[in-house]
Amino acid sequence: MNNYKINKNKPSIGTEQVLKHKDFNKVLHEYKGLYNYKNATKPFYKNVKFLGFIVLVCTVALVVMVVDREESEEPKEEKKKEEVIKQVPATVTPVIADTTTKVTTEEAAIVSKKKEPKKSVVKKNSHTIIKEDSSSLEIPNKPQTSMPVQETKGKPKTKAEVKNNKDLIYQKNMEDLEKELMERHKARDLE
Amino acid sequence: MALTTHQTKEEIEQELLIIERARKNPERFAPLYDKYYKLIFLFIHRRTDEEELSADLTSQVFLKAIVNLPGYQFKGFPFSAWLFRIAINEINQFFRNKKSSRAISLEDAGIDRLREELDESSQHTEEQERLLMESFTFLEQDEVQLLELRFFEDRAFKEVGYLLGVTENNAKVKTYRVLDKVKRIMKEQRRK
Repeated sequence: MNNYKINKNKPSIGTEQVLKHKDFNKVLHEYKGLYNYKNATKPFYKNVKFLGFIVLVCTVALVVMVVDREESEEPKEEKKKEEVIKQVPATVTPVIADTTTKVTTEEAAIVSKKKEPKKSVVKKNSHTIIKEDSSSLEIPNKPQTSMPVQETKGKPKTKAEVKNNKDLIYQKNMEDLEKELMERHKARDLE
Repeated sequence: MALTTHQTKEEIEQELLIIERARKNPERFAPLYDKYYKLIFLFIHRRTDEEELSADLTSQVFLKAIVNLPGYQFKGFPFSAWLFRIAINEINQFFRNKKSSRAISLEDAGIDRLREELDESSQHTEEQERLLMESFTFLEQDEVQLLELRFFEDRAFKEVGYLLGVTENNAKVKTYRVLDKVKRIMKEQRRK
C-alpha cells in the first residue's frame, strides 16, 4: 500500500499566491550560474577554442621549421657558387690607362714582351715586379687566387659584377705600377 | 481550472518564433515564462499540495526548459506539453529522492469519467467512491499518473503518450491495464 494524500474537490490555489513566486530574473540568474559552471567543468581537451589554439600553434611551428630548413640550405649553395667562381681562371685582359696614365702603350708592349725574369724579384702590394735592370719591368699577370673578392651576403653577385670588380682591382694595381715606373724614369733622368 | 491548452496554428507559429529567439538569447524566454508559469505551478501543486515546494519545482522546470531549449523539437504538440513533460520528470525525481507522500487531487468530474470507464455509473454511492479512493492506494505512482492525466486532467491518449514518453497505443494499453487493476482491487475490497 502506498501512502497518498488524496484531496477531493479541494479548491485550487489563488492566482495571487501563485504569482507571488513568479520571478524570471531568479531563473535567469540560476541559468547563468549553471551555464558558467558547465563551461568551467568542461574538459579542456573537449574545448573547441583550446583545440583550435593547438592546431594553430602546430601549424606555425611547422611553417617555421620549413622556412628554417630552406634558409640553412641556401648558404651552402652560395658557398658552392663562390668556390666555382674562384676555381675558374681569370680571362680578363689587362686594362691600361689611356690618357690619364703616364705609361704609354709602347712601354706596355715592351714590358709584356719580356716574359722571363732574369734576376731580382720584388714583391709589392700583391703584384710581382721582376727586376733585371732598371729598364726591365714586367707587368704582373692578372691576380688569380690572391685577388680579393668581396664577400657577399644574401644575394650572390652576378658574373658581370664580379668581372667589373676584378677589372677595378687590376686597374688599381696598374696605377701603382705606373707610379713606380714614373719614379724609376725620374731616377734614371737624374743619373 | 483546465490544465490543457488548445492553440491555433498561428499561436503555435508565434510561439515557435519566440522559442527560436530564446535559443539565441535566454532573456527572450520571458514571454513563455509569463504565459505558462501559472499553468505549470498548478500542475505541480495538484501533485505536491505544498506552495513553497511547488514554487521551487516550477522554477526548476523553467530552468531546465531554458537549458534544454536548443534541443527542443516541435512534434505537433504545443510548447506547454514539453513543459508538462519536464514537470512530470521533476515531480517523479523529487518523490523518488524524498520519499514523502504524493498528493492526488480528485474532482467530481474526473471521478465521473473514471466511473464511466469502470462501468460503475449505474449507482453513485458513497461506498463506491470510498472503494475507488482506497483502490488508489494500491496503485504505483506511474499508474496513478496515467489516471490523473487521462481522467482528471482530461487529456487525449496522444498527449498522455507524449508526456510519459510512450506511444499513443502504449498509453492506451497501459491505461486500460490500470483500469482493470482498479476494478480488481474494488472487487476484492467489496468481498472483504
